[in-house]
Amino acid sequence: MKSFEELYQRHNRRVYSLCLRMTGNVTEAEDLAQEVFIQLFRKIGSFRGESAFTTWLHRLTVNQVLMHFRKRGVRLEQTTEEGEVPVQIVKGTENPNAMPVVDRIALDKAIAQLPPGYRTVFTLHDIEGHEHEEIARMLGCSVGTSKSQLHKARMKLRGLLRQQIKAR
Amino acid sequence: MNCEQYQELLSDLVDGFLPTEDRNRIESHLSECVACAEVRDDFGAIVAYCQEHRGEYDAVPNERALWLRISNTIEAEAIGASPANVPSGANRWFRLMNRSWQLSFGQLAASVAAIVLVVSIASVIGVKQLSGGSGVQTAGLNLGTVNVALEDRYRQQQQAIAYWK
Ligand SMILES: [Zn+2]
Repeated sequence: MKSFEELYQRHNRRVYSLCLRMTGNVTEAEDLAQEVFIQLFRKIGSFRGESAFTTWLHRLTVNQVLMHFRKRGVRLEQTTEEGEVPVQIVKGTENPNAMPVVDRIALDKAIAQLPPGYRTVFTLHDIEGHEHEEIARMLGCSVGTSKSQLHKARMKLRGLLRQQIKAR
Repeated sequence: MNCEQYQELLSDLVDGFLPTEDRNRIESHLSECVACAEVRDDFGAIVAYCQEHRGEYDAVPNERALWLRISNTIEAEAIGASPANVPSGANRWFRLMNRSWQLSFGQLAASVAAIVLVVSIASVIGVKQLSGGSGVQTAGLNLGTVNVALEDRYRQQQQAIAYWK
Protein backbone atom coordinates (compact mmCIF):
# COMPACT_ATOMS: atom_id res chain seq x y z
CA MET A 1 0.00 0.00 0.00
CA LYS A 2 2.97 2.26 0.67
CA SER A 3 4.15 2.19 -2.95
CA PHE A 4 0.63 2.73 -4.22
CA GLU A 5 0.41 5.76 -1.97
CA GLU A 6 3.64 7.05 -3.54
CA LEU A 7 2.06 6.56 -6.95
CA TYR A 8 -0.93 8.54 -5.75
CA GLN A 9 1.32 11.30 -4.41
CA ARG A 10 3.07 11.55 -7.75
CA HIS A 11 0.04 11.56 -10.01
CA ASN A 12 -2.97 12.82 -8.07
CA ARG A 13 -2.68 16.44 -9.26
CA ARG A 14 -2.46 15.45 -12.85
CA VAL A 15 -5.47 13.14 -12.62
CA TYR A 16 -7.50 15.59 -10.58
CA SER A 17 -6.74 18.54 -12.88
CA LEU A 18 -7.82 16.64 -15.95
CA CYS A 19 -11.06 15.61 -14.24
CA LEU A 20 -11.60 19.18 -13.10
CA ARG A 21 -11.07 20.66 -16.57
CA MET A 22 -13.31 18.08 -18.20
CA THR A 23 -16.15 18.42 -15.70
CA GLY A 24 -15.74 22.01 -14.54
CA ASN A 25 -16.81 20.88 -11.07
CA VAL A 26 -14.62 20.35 -7.99
CA THR A 27 -16.77 17.70 -6.31
CA GLU A 28 -17.26 15.67 -9.46
CA ALA A 29 -13.54 15.95 -10.17
CA GLU A 30 -12.65 14.60 -6.71
CA ASP A 31 -15.09 11.70 -7.01
CA LEU A 32 -13.74 10.87 -10.45
CA ALA A 33 -10.12 11.09 -9.31
CA GLN A 34 -10.97 8.66 -6.50
CA GLU A 35 -12.53 6.25 -9.00
CA VAL A 36 -9.51 6.56 -11.30
CA PHE A 37 -7.09 5.52 -8.54
CA ILE A 38 -9.29 2.62 -7.49
CA GLN A 39 -9.41 1.47 -11.12
CA LEU A 40 -5.66 1.98 -11.32
CA PHE A 41 -5.13 -0.30 -8.33
CA ARG A 42 -7.35 -2.96 -9.88
CA LYS A 43 -5.80 -2.74 -13.32
CA ILE A 44 -2.17 -1.96 -12.70
CA GLY A 45 -1.26 -5.63 -12.93
CA SER A 46 -2.63 -5.69 -16.47
CA PHE A 47 -0.54 -2.72 -17.59
CA ARG A 48 1.89 -4.09 -20.14
CA GLY A 49 3.89 -1.03 -20.95
CA GLU A 50 3.10 -0.65 -24.64
CA SER A 51 2.80 3.03 -23.79
CA ALA A 52 4.28 5.20 -21.06
CA PHE A 53 2.65 4.86 -17.67
CA THR A 54 1.47 8.48 -17.67
CA THR A 55 -0.16 8.01 -21.08
CA TRP A 56 -1.90 4.91 -19.81
CA LEU A 57 -3.08 6.68 -16.68
CA HIS A 58 -4.20 9.65 -18.77
CA ARG A 59 -6.33 7.40 -20.96
CA LEU A 60 -7.76 5.66 -17.89
CA THR A 61 -8.75 9.10 -16.56
CA VAL A 62 -10.30 10.31 -19.82
CA ASN A 63 -12.29 7.07 -20.09
CA GLN A 64 -13.51 7.41 -16.53
CA VAL A 65 -14.77 10.95 -17.19
CA LEU A 66 -16.40 9.95 -20.48
CA MET A 67 -18.14 7.05 -18.75
CA HIS A 68 -19.35 9.48 -16.11
CA PHE A 69 -20.74 11.75 -18.87
CA ARG A 70 -22.51 8.80 -20.49
CA LYS A 71 -24.06 7.79 -17.17
CA ARG A 72 -25.30 11.34 -16.71
CA GLY A 73 -26.70 11.32 -20.23
CA VAL A 74 -24.32 14.00 -21.47
CA ARG A 75 -23.93 13.62 -25.21
CA LEU A 76 -20.66 14.97 -26.47
CA GLU A 77 -21.65 14.94 -30.12
CA GLN A 78 -24.23 17.56 -29.25
CA THR A 79 -22.73 20.97 -29.05
CA THR A 80 -24.65 21.86 -25.92
CA GLU A 81 -27.27 20.34 -23.72
CA GLU A 82 -29.84 22.66 -25.33
CA GLY A 83 -28.66 22.03 -28.87
CA GLU A 84 -26.61 24.04 -31.29
CA VAL A 85 -25.38 27.37 -30.01
CA PRO A 86 -24.66 29.76 -32.84
CA VAL A 87 -21.11 30.96 -32.63
CA GLN A 88 -20.98 34.70 -32.47
CA ILE A 89 -19.54 36.10 -35.63
CA VAL A 90 -17.67 39.27 -34.98
CA LYS A 91 -18.66 41.91 -37.50
CA GLY A 92 -17.74 45.43 -36.49
CA THR A 93 -15.60 45.95 -33.44
CA GLU A 94 -16.53 48.22 -30.61
CA ASN A 95 -13.46 47.15 -28.68
CA PRO A 96 -10.40 47.02 -30.87
CA ASN A 97 -8.05 46.09 -28.02
CA ALA A 98 -5.85 43.09 -28.38
CA MET A 99 -6.92 40.18 -26.17
CA PRO A 100 -6.50 41.23 -22.57
CA VAL A 101 -4.22 38.96 -20.64
CA VAL A 102 -5.57 35.45 -20.30
CA ASP A 103 -4.98 34.33 -16.75
CA ARG A 104 -5.55 31.04 -15.03
CA ILE A 105 -8.55 32.13 -12.97
CA ALA A 106 -10.32 33.73 -15.92
CA LEU A 107 -9.60 30.80 -18.20
CA ASP A 108 -10.69 28.17 -15.65
CA LYS A 109 -13.88 30.09 -15.00
CA ALA A 110 -14.61 30.35 -18.71
CA ILE A 111 -13.81 26.67 -19.37
CA ALA A 112 -16.20 25.65 -16.60
CA GLN A 113 -18.96 27.56 -18.40
CA LEU A 114 -18.49 25.73 -21.69
CA PRO A 115 -20.95 23.01 -22.66
CA PRO A 116 -19.47 19.53 -21.93
CA GLY A 117 -18.72 18.70 -25.56
CA TYR A 118 -16.78 21.91 -26.17
CA ARG A 119 -15.06 21.63 -22.80
CA THR A 120 -13.90 18.08 -23.44
CA VAL A 121 -12.40 18.78 -26.85
CA PHE A 122 -10.84 22.06 -25.72
CA THR A 123 -9.29 20.36 -22.67
CA LEU A 124 -7.93 17.45 -24.67
CA HIS A 125 -6.58 19.59 -27.54
CA ASP A 126 -5.49 22.94 -26.19
CA ILE A 127 -4.77 22.08 -22.57
CA GLU A 128 -3.51 18.52 -22.81
CA GLY A 129 -2.04 18.81 -26.29
CA HIS A 130 -3.70 15.87 -28.05
CA GLU A 131 -4.04 15.70 -31.84
CA HIS A 132 -7.50 15.66 -33.39
CA GLU A 133 -6.98 12.05 -34.54
CA GLU A 134 -6.40 10.89 -30.95
CA ILE A 135 -9.36 12.89 -29.68
CA ALA A 136 -11.63 11.47 -32.39
CA ARG A 137 -10.54 7.96 -31.37
CA MET A 138 -11.11 8.63 -27.67
CA LEU A 139 -14.51 10.21 -28.19
CA GLY A 140 -15.61 7.96 -31.02
CA CYS A 141 -16.30 10.85 -33.36
CA SER A 142 -14.83 12.06 -36.64
CA VAL A 143 -11.76 14.28 -36.93
CA GLY A 144 -14.02 16.88 -38.54
CA THR A 145 -16.32 16.88 -35.50
CA SER A 146 -13.35 17.25 -33.16
CA LYS A 147 -12.06 20.20 -35.20
CA SER A 148 -15.41 21.96 -35.40
CA GLN A 149 -16.07 21.41 -31.66
CA LEU A 150 -12.67 22.94 -30.90
CA HIS A 151 -13.34 25.94 -33.11
CA LYS A 152 -16.72 26.55 -31.50
CA ALA A 153 -15.20 26.06 -28.05
CA ARG A 154 -12.55 28.70 -28.74
CA MET A 155 -15.16 31.11 -30.12
CA LYS A 156 -17.34 30.69 -27.06
CA LEU A 157 -14.33 30.90 -24.75
CA ARG A 158 -13.13 34.20 -26.19
CA GLY A 159 -16.62 35.60 -25.75
CA LEU A 160 -16.67 34.47 -22.11
CA LEU A 161 -13.19 35.85 -21.46
CA ARG A 162 -14.12 39.21 -22.96
CA GLN A 163 -17.28 39.31 -20.86
CA GLN A 164 -15.18 38.75 -17.75
CA ILE A 165 -12.81 41.53 -18.72
CA LYS A 166 -15.72 43.91 -19.28
CA ALA A 167 -17.22 43.00 -15.90
CA ARG A 168 -14.01 43.82 -14.02
CA MET B 1 -15.77 34.91 -48.89
CA ASN B 2 -17.35 36.92 -46.08
CA CYS B 3 -16.10 37.42 -42.50
CA GLU B 4 -18.16 34.48 -41.21
CA GLN B 5 -16.48 32.13 -43.64
CA TYR B 6 -13.03 33.53 -42.86
CA GLN B 7 -13.59 33.13 -39.15
CA GLU B 8 -14.50 29.49 -39.69
CA LEU B 9 -10.93 28.95 -40.86
CA LEU B 10 -9.21 30.75 -37.99
CA SER B 11 -8.72 27.70 -35.76
CA ASP B 12 -7.06 25.86 -38.61
CA LEU B 13 -4.93 28.92 -39.29
CA VAL B 14 -3.78 29.20 -35.66
CA ASP B 15 -3.08 25.44 -35.52
CA GLY B 16 -1.14 25.54 -38.78
CA PHE B 17 -3.47 23.23 -40.71
CA LEU B 18 -4.22 25.55 -43.63
CA PRO B 19 -2.64 24.97 -47.03
CA THR B 20 -0.49 27.87 -48.26
CA GLU B 21 -3.07 29.11 -50.75
CA ASP B 22 -5.84 29.42 -48.14
CA ARG B 23 -3.40 30.90 -45.68
CA ASN B 24 -2.37 33.65 -48.07
CA ARG B 25 -5.98 34.47 -48.84
CA ILE B 26 -7.00 34.68 -45.19
CA GLU B 27 -3.87 36.65 -44.22
CA SER B 28 -4.67 39.28 -46.80
CA HIS B 29 -8.25 39.54 -45.42
CA LEU B 30 -6.91 39.80 -41.87
CA SER B 31 -4.61 42.62 -42.85
CA GLU B 32 -7.63 44.77 -43.67
CA CYS B 33 -10.39 43.39 -41.37
CA VAL B 34 -9.96 44.43 -37.75
CA ALA B 35 -12.80 42.20 -36.48
CA CYS B 36 -11.40 38.99 -37.95
CA ALA B 37 -7.86 39.93 -36.94
CA GLU B 38 -9.09 40.36 -33.38
CA VAL B 39 -10.54 36.83 -33.33
CA ARG B 40 -7.26 35.50 -34.67
CA ASP B 41 -5.34 37.36 -31.95
CA ASP B 42 -7.67 36.08 -29.22
CA PHE B 43 -7.31 32.51 -30.44
CA GLY B 44 -3.56 32.99 -30.55
CA ALA B 45 -3.54 34.30 -26.97
CA ILE B 46 -5.65 31.41 -25.68
CA VAL B 47 -3.62 28.74 -27.46
CA ALA B 48 -0.30 30.31 -26.42
CA TYR B 49 -1.41 30.54 -22.80
CA CYS B 50 -2.45 26.88 -22.77
CA GLN B 51 0.83 25.78 -24.30
CA GLU B 52 2.92 27.82 -21.87
CA HIS B 53 1.09 26.40 -18.90
CA ARG B 54 0.82 22.80 -20.05
CA GLY B 55 1.91 20.45 -17.29
CA GLU B 56 0.80 22.78 -14.50
CA TYR B 57 -1.80 21.07 -12.37
CA ASP B 58 -4.28 22.08 -9.73
CA ALA B 59 -3.91 20.72 -6.25
CA VAL B 60 -6.59 18.42 -4.94
CA PRO B 61 -8.49 20.47 -2.31
CA ASN B 62 -7.71 17.88 0.37
CA GLU B 63 -5.08 15.48 -0.89
CA ARG B 64 -4.87 13.47 2.33
CA ALA B 65 -8.63 13.05 2.66
CA LEU B 66 -8.88 11.84 -0.92
CA TRP B 67 -6.09 9.33 -0.30
CA LEU B 68 -7.93 7.99 2.75
CA ARG B 69 -11.11 7.58 0.71
CA ILE B 70 -9.16 5.67 -1.93
CA SER B 71 -7.17 3.46 0.44
CA ASN B 72 -10.24 2.64 2.55
CA THR B 73 -12.14 1.53 -0.53
CA ILE B 74 -9.24 -0.59 -1.76
CA GLU B 75 -8.73 -2.26 1.62
CA ALA B 76 -12.45 -2.89 2.04
CA GLU B 77 -12.53 -4.48 -1.41
CA ALA B 78 -9.53 -6.67 -0.67
CA ILE B 79 -11.19 -7.98 2.48
CA GLY B 80 -14.59 -8.34 0.83
CA ALA B 81 -13.09 -10.32 -2.05
CA SER B 82 -11.47 -12.94 0.17
CA PRO B 83 -14.35 -15.12 1.47
CA ALA B 84 -14.72 -16.74 -1.97
CA ASN B 85 -11.23 -18.20 -1.52
CA VAL B 86 -11.98 -19.67 1.89
CA PRO B 87 -12.71 -23.40 2.11
CA SER B 88 -16.11 -23.93 3.74
CA GLY B 89 -14.60 -25.70 6.76
CA ALA B 90 -12.70 -22.61 7.72
CA ASN B 91 -15.70 -20.28 7.75
CA ARG B 92 -15.76 -20.01 11.50
CA TRP B 93 -12.07 -19.27 11.59
CA PHE B 94 -12.42 -16.88 8.72
CA ARG B 95 -15.16 -14.92 10.45
CA LEU B 96 -13.02 -14.82 13.57
CA MET B 97 -10.08 -13.57 11.57
CA ASN B 98 -12.19 -11.16 9.56
CA ARG B 99 -13.23 -9.44 12.75
CA SER B 100 -9.63 -8.77 13.62
CA TRP B 101 -8.88 -7.54 10.06
CA GLN B 102 -11.42 -4.83 10.56
CA LEU B 103 -9.42 -3.55 13.51
CA SER B 104 -6.34 -2.56 11.56
CA PHE B 105 -4.24 -3.44 8.61
CA GLY B 106 -1.16 -3.69 10.80
CA GLN B 107 -2.79 -6.51 12.73
CA LEU B 108 -3.46 -8.32 9.48
CA ALA B 109 0.21 -8.11 8.59
CA ALA B 110 1.15 -9.31 12.09
CA SER B 111 -1.24 -12.25 11.84
CA VAL B 112 0.22 -13.25 8.48
CA ALA B 113 3.69 -13.17 9.97
CA ALA B 114 2.53 -15.16 13.01
CA ILE B 115 0.85 -17.82 10.88
CA VAL B 116 3.84 -18.17 8.58
CA LEU B 117 6.02 -18.55 11.69
CA VAL B 118 3.71 -21.13 13.30
CA VAL B 119 3.45 -23.14 10.09
CA SER B 120 7.20 -23.20 9.52
CA ILE B 121 7.95 -24.10 13.15
CA ALA B 122 5.35 -26.84 12.92
CA SER B 123 7.05 -28.21 9.80
CA VAL B 124 10.46 -28.13 11.45
CA ILE B 125 9.34 -29.83 14.66
CA GLY B 126 7.69 -32.52 12.64
CA VAL B 127 4.16 -33.46 11.67
CA LYS B 128 4.34 -36.56 13.90
CA GLN B 129 4.07 -34.61 17.12
CA LEU B 130 1.03 -32.78 15.79
CA SER B 131 -0.98 -35.92 15.02
CA GLY B 132 -3.39 -35.12 17.90
CA GLY B 133 -3.91 -31.56 16.73
CA SER B 134 -4.27 -32.08 12.99
CA GLY B 135 -7.63 -30.24 13.01
CA VAL B 136 -5.98 -27.16 14.40
CA GLN B 137 -3.22 -27.37 11.85
CA THR B 138 -5.71 -27.70 8.96
CA ALA B 139 -7.62 -24.65 10.11
CA GLY B 140 -4.32 -22.79 10.53
CA LEU B 141 -3.24 -23.67 7.01
CA ASN B 142 -6.61 -22.61 5.59
CA LEU B 143 -6.37 -19.26 7.30
CA GLY B 144 -2.83 -19.03 6.07
CA THR B 145 -4.07 -19.60 2.52
CA VAL B 146 -6.53 -16.72 2.86
CA ASN B 147 -3.95 -14.38 4.22
CA VAL B 148 -1.32 -15.49 1.77
CA ALA B 149 -3.79 -14.94 -1.11
CA LEU B 150 -4.39 -11.40 0.08
CA GLU B 151 -0.70 -10.82 0.64
CA ASP B 152 0.00 -12.26 -2.80
CA ARG B 153 -2.39 -9.82 -4.35
CA TYR B 154 -0.73 -6.90 -2.59
CA ARG B 155 2.72 -8.21 -3.50
CA GLN B 156 1.77 -8.49 -7.16
CA GLN B 157 0.38 -4.95 -7.12
CA GLN B 158 3.50 -3.69 -5.39
CA GLN B 159 5.73 -5.37 -7.96
CA ALA B 160 3.72 -3.89 -10.80
CA ILE B 161 3.74 -0.46 -9.16
CA ALA B 162 7.45 -0.63 -8.41
CA TYR B 163 8.16 -1.76 -11.97
CA TRP B 164 6.23 1.03 -13.68
CA LYS B 165 7.49 3.73 -11.36
ZN1 LIG C 1 -13.44 39.87 -41.63
